[in-house]
Amino acid sequence: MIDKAKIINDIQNATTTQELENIKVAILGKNGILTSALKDLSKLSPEEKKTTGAALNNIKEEILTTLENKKSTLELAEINAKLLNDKIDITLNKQENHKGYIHPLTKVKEELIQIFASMGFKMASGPDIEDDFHNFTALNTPEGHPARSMQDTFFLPNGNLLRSQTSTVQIREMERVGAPVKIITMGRVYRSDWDATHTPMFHQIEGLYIDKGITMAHLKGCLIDFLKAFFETDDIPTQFRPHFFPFTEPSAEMDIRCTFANGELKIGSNGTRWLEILGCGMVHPNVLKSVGINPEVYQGFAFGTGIERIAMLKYGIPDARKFYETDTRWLSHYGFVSDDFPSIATGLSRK
Amino acid sequence: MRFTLNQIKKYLKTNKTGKEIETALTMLGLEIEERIDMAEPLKDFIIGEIVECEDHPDSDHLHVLKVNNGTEIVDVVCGAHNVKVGLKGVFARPGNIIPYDGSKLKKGVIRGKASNGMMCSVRELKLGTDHDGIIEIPENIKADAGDEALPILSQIYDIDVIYDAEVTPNRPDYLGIRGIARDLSAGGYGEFIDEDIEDIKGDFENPIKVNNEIPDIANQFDIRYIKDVKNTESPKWLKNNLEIVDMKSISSLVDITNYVLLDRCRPLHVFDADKIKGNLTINFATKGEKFTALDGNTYELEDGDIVISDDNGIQSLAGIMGGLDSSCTLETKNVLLESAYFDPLTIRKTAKRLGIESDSKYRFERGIDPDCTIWGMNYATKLILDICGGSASSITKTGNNDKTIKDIEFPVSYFKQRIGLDMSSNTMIDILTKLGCKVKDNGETLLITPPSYRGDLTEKHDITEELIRIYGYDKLPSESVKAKEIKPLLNEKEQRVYILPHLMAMRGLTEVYTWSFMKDDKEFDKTNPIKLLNPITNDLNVMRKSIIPNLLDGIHTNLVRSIENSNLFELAPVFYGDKPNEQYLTISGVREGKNKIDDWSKDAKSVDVYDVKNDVFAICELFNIDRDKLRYETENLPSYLNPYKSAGIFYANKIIGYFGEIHPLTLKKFGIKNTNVVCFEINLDLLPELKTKPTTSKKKLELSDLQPISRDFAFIFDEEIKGQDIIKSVKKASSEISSVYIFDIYKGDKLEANKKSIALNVNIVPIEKTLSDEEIQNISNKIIENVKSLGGELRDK
Repeated sequence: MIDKAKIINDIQNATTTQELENIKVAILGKNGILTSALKDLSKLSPEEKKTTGAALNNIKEEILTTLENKKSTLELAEINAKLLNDKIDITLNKQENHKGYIHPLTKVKEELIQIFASMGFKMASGPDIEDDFHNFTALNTPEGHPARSMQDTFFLPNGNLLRSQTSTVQIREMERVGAPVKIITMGRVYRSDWDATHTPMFHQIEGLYIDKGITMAHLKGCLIDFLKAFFETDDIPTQFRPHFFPFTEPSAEMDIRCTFANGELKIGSNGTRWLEILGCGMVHPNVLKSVGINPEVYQGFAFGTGIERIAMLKYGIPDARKFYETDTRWLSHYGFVSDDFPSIATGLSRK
Repeated sequence: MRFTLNQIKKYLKTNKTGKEIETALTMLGLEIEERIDMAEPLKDFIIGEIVECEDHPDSDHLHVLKVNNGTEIVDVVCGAHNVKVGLKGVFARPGNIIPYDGSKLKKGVIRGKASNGMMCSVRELKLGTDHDGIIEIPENIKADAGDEALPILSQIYDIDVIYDAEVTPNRPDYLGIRGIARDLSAGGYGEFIDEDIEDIKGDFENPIKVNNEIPDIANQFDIRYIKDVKNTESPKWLKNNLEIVDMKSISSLVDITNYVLLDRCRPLHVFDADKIKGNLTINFATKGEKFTALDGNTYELEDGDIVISDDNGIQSLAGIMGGLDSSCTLETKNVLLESAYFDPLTIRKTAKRLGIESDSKYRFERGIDPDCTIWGMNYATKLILDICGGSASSITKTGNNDKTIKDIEFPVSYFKQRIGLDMSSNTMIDILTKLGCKVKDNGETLLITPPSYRGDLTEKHDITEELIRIYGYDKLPSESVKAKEIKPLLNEKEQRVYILPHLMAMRGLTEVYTWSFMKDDKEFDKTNPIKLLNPITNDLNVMRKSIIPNLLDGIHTNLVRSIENSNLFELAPVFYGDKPNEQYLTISGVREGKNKIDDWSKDAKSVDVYDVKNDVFAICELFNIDRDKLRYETENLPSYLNPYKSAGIFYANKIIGYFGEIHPLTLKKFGIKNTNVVCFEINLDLLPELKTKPTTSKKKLELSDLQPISRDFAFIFDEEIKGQDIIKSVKKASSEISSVYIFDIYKGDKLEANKKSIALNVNIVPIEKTLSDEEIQNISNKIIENVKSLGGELRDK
């Protein structure tokens, strides 16, 4: 006879799904006691068959339900046990691949490109090794001109030189396209000078705008707009001072009102001093003549400044020499993350 | 150029302060680099009176004083010899900053005696160089203990404001105090006071003759003999005028010439006339001649240097420096005073070659007033006669003074055309007249004769600048520059170059900037170095042909600081010649160590050449170059690369760069130890013209609904087989093969020596209809056949 109570009890006491499966096979498997009992029904009389069969089927039904329920319970417990077993320390971190940084000079160049694109300038570029004509003579600094000693130039044995200013590119571009011309140029320049504020190589941005009717008022407007955009403030008092450059006349230097506190530049009308920020002027007629542009028809302005210098001012970078030192600690601190694309639409810099 | 406010006030009647004058000069274009207000550091000093004075018991020269400072009597130990009871002087209290050395005075004990202050000397207050005893306020000046010292000191000393200005090369007239004062007056900052210069005719004829052989170069060479002078130490006013601007006082005669140079930008020279033998000749030197100058150095001269000689030889290098042999001393009795004008270019060339700096040369090379020779001579003569006595000869004049002044015709409308600002012709005439121009008003135009001292004014644009300069740059109007159309600033190639640093940074490389020059022995390619004639240091003496050495230096620098795993790149030019445009825009990168920090996850792996090869692919794809069209050449590699793990990269049969592993010997040379470095370098200018599509519209996307089929194959090859060749050959089997990749490479015991097994996965995407088993088998057979032609045998399972 089948001891239903014992079977149910065994099922309830099973501790693993495997144990449960064993019970199931012993009872309901091919040779299981219940399977056998059901098979044996055929030996009984129709009357007995009916009653015993019904009873056995009820038992089978009950055992199956109990088995299913118990199986679910055990499976859940087993999964939970497994999850618990695989528990991790969620506070751990996995190292990522090394992060790359954008150099501050590149970032600032991108900002400059954004600003001058909005004013309709085009990019022009030219060689670092230059000839005397493009670096001096065409820029109204003929042989023997005292202004030649304003910068100490590097020379090559063949008489060529390392450009001491990117104005060389202005000359090349005017030779190429004539007038009108509206370009910016950015690149490496070289001067024999090395201390905390000078490096023998640095970068310049220059702008040139030659057309009919371009006056010194346009120069001033362009530069004020540029500085407001670059330093991302409207409160930027500026001052133009007369200066001398051989390739412009009138020439000017432009200052901004600011204060330095703890190495940080604060620009604004409550500043305590004027700080020189760039040089500029109306392109000298001799320069236009040297590239075959008639200065009686076309005129315009040029300006230039050091990219390191404005980068240092904007981002509070203390020493110009560090720009070239490949120190990854410096680069990850003063550099910019790879997804930082300055734009007029999204703002030039993240704060 | 150093000068002082009091020196300016000799020529300018003004009530402006030192700071106002600084601002005025800055706005006139004379940039003031430094302003030293001597009064500034004296503000906190007071008068002290010595009320008791005893010798220090433990010293033979110190005194112990009791000083009344107005509020109390304090003990002071003092070493000055002129201490006495009743002396009133300047008292420094503890906490005062001593101007001489910037130190802060502290209370102290000197040889056992307390000292709670200091009685100051002239030098300690930076009022002069005198250090002999303490300041003693004269009886006739009212001063009481505790009074502020500054107003009292102002009555005794020149408490001045010193300026250091940067004079631009176009303005030699700014190299004299009188010129600066004149500009200030033109700018409206005071009234210009000129002084008349007496025309001294001379009492006798100049006994020394001058033979000017080069009158067109030595345009003016005028001399005068002054006899019976007595050269002495300079009078105080003269000495002070020089010393306050850091010029050395030597003797009256020399100081007078320096003073006239400073005061009126008129360089002069004095010879000791008794040391001159015979007459003077002005001529070019001949190559190889030697000359010993006042600075004690002997210079070797060249043809074309202007020299002044007597019968003994060269006595002066014209305009640059006088000779030692004929220089004036305190024994000088008779002098020869020279006032000249030399060709600026010649002076500049000689001085530059010889490396001589002198105040005189600095002025001559910039072009002094050509009309000042005679009045300059008379101005100095007067000073010599007043200070040293004697009597002057007539003036001997030589040279062809062809410096005629050209008139400038200035259209009144030109100003507005260039500056964008209206200015009346009356204002223009007023400004130009104040600057010393003669102006004739012709209505539409002005006819302008510039003064002789403004050689920089020759064209109408020069006049425009003067007008706006004096009128004031602060009055310039401002007008925005607008874009005429919306267009990119960068061309197609520049746009990709703009993205490149971001692409590299996203791949984990950090951007660096390094010098375009390097040390010659760091170059990998040592043929035909591009040398600099005047490198800033011998460590930066050639233009670089590759960026990699600088990046290896970068890795080394970081390793020295215990920073591992440097991943660096630079986007910048390299050079292959010494002429313009013999350069390539290049991107180079290095990866060192592991791809990430080796942490508990054990995921980190050492970087290898395939990492940098992927960098190369990323760059190529940015420039629209299909990576499958690249070819790798392992012959003729540069020696810095490991020849078995590196390649030259070819595209369209042209080399565009390299990638690979740095040779261990190269690492050793750069001091990089116990790590591996891989690198790439691509010359962007060697990439073919960027191929861009004529439209921004993308090709229509055709997606197949048919089931793709994936099949694996394993083949045995000779060891030398190239993976790229296998993949190419498999792909040729059918146009329906969409991708092929190698998923395993095996070498070892199960294979013969010199053989390797390569396992491939081939993905087949049916295009038109589902492939039948037979069709798939056909593709498989074709693949096996193709591989067989490369020497590959299907591996038995």
